[in-house]
Amino acid sequence: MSGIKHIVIAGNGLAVNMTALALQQQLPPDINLTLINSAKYADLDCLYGSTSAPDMYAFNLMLNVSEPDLLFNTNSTFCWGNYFDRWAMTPCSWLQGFHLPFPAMRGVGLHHFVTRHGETELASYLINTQADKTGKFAHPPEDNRHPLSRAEYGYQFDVSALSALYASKLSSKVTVINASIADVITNPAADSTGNINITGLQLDNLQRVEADLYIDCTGPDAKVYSELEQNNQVPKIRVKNARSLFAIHSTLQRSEALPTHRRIRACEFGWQADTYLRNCIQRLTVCSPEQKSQAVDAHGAEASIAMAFSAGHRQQAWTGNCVAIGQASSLIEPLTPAPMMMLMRDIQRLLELIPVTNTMSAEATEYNRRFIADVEHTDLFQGALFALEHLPDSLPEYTYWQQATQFVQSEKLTRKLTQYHHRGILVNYDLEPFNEQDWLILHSGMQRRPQTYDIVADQVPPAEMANQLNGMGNVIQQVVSQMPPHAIYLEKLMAYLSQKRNQ
Amino acid sequence: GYIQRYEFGVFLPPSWIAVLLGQNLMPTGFDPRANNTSDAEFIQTSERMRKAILNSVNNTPLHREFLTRYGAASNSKPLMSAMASTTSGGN
Repeated sequence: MSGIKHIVIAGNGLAVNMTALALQQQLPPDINLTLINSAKYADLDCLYGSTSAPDMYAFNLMLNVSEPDLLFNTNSTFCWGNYFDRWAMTPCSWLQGFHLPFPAMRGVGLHHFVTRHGETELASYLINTQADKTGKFAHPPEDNRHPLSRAEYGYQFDVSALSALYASKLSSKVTVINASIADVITNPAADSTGNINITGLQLDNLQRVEADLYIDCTGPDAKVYSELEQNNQVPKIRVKNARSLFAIHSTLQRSEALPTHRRIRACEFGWQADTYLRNCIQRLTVCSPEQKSQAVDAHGAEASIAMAFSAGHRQQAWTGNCVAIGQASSLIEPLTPAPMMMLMRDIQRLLELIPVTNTMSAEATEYNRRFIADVEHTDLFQGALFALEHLPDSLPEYTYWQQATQFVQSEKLTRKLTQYHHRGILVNYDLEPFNEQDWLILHSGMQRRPQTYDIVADQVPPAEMANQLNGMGNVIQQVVSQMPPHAIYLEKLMAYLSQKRNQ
Repeated sequence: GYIQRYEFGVFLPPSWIAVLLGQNLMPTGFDPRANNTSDAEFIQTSERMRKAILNSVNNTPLHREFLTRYGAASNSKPLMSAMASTTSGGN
């Protein structure tokens, strides 16, 4: 079977290193890989955010990066989730944590009983939320009878350190060329599917590189991919839902405390997030460009990075023989782990659809279908953070917030919110990046209350239900009281791992 | 050989593979990652699978015997004659 023999991955920073490493680990050795490491766009890596969802653990293992690798080689810490502090200047403060499916009684989900019990929040029944309140952390045990086993965790990380870790794992299977792309050469004649393809990349070191498949990780400008957009039958509006924003990034000294969350504070001009690493705090401020000077004043530290960016996504991410990965295909405001989730999904999608011949239209069609579904479903969750109609007079009048709500308009999101409000139903779409637990925690945190609950819950006598709920809450408090503080757990874990490594 | 992924599909990928292969719709290509496994390794693994499946099947009772053992066999005449005419190892 004649197939793809040479893949070029172009870019700099997290996306190119992660993609190259994934291809190195997963593809057979008869497919040659070349990484063109251009010296641009690494600054924008801070827009991948600094927290991961739990799925990063398994993704890293696929890349042959273990958790000890991550802890030894970066300043990463653990993370129960993102803590939203008085979000949109409302009283809504909550931990947007990660959790396995909630328990059910008589086949009815926990949240229906919480509604029936007259409570307003899920927090009392979420062990990671309770542990986060006092900065406690321990690895969830495998024994699923243990209350902590229901919690999931992610990481707080420094994106440049993570990128460097992936780069350090590249072997001689990947040919690295340190050069910038001077020109993208395309075939003037369309192929049998009507697409214009790339025939080579001219580099600034006068080298010309030719491949069967080109992967563009060069960032939002998509230097390689955009050449095909101009030549092919790609819709004229290239970037959908584009929204102009401004970001400021700094590193600060850390105090003794080591929270188990990234803290996101709402401000008039936008929001500010602090990520707690082992030896420092990384601060990211995002605002509307009109309120830039206000944001800079409030940032509280000298900016190491300050830049405008456009959040949005391309209408398709695979055209001809070129695929746009990461920020080259979508740039997502890093309010949640969504940017990292999308990058991992891009890579996973690519691995499943590596072309088997040089005619790639079947792979491209399926890739684009899944890409659009993933990015639109990610937008739903982020959009829900700005859907404030249920809180009267709560929408701040400032530019950032007013603009954000304009991007929330979506029939799918309206359906989700309406069904949940009506009777606690969670409307699910196919293969959403954010699961039912994510949505329930979001609704609870933003004080969205269902008008009623699943009547099947009435099968459980009120006294039994109250007993179960109280029991759950008490057991959680008991377990949390015995957990160590995050800093101490991390210190002891590192000592144990060091000892094991030296044996 | 790619199966489109749907989370809420009524039929799961194994059903799709069965119905497509059953109607002789053979893929012309395969996931390149399969080439990470050598032919020898694949033959060894698949032979192990084949033997384990064959062993389990050979140790599984006939349908009629199973129904009888569980007390679920019917003594109605049409069913009894149909069961009596079932050949050894048949469905």
